[in-house]
Amino acid sequence: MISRELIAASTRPLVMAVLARGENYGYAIIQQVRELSGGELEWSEGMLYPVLHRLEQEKVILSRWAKAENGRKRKYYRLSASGARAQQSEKEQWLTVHQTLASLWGIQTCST
Amino acid sequence: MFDLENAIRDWQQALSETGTVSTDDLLELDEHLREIVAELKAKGCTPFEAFAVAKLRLGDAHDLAAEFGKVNRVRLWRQLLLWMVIGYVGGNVLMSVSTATASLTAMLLFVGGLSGPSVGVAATVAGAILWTTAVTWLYRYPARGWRPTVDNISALRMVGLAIAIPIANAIGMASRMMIAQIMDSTTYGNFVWHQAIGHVVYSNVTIVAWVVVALLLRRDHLAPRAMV
Repeated sequence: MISRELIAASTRPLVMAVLARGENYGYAIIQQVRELSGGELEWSEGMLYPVLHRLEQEKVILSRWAKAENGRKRKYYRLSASGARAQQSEKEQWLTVHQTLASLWGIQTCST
Repeated sequence: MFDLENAIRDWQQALSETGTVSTDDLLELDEHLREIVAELKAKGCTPFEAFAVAKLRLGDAHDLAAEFGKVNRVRLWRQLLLWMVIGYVGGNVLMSVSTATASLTAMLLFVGGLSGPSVGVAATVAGAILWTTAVTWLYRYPARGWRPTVDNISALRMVGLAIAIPIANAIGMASRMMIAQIMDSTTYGNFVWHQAIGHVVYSNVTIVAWVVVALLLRRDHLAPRAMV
């Protein structure tokens, strides 16, 4: 299990990375993260929305309401142009941390 | 028998009463909750089980409200402002109604044949009883009762609350005019004098009473922490 602090810190880049793959909505974003992490990343699901709304206020992501296939209203989010750039910077930061830890722990990485 | 729609409504109400979760936020959370419920029902859970787990997965209502509050700062502020307005209007209503009650009591007692300082004392006591009742009622107001938020506050309710002020003022005024009409000048002079003393005592006691209320609230606030 991942610690609460790490989950809180990684929510933002994870959300941005999921949205970089295309427009999506809350429940499906969580499903994707859960699947890709093999169930290791367990979010308190409602907490995703304040994160999404903060990203929206920062204009990193955009949103629109649309009618879902089940007939109910659903809010879809997508990465903005500035969001795509922010996502690149997030990626570099996380990779730097990852590579530093990997070198210290003596794990070979092929990302160079 | 478990009613899913009822349970969802209660859950939504609890969230909306926190005041930090907007109508749009609620709509989004509701959609999410229903997705989880559908997912779990497809796996063979009963509606009750599905709802219980969905609620758990979404997170504690108070934690959620706190997180939403960090994003919805403007909303949170407006919510606080609304409480201040309600407090101001409500305080004025109480003030007008208690003055009217005191004047009306004095008038009725005098018409009933009573005179001297006892009329002034009785009037002050009537006002004090009204305040005590109002404060006790507010203090014991059920947590599940109606709580105004920027979404559910209606113009009708606010006007209904505010309209009590001119009505009470009119009753108080009419009572005082009546007293002035029926009392002879010496008795009226004494009455005004008794009332003035009563008012000074009263306004000082009221402040002490509010401090006591604040201390009581503080004790309530500290109690759950002490238990941890």
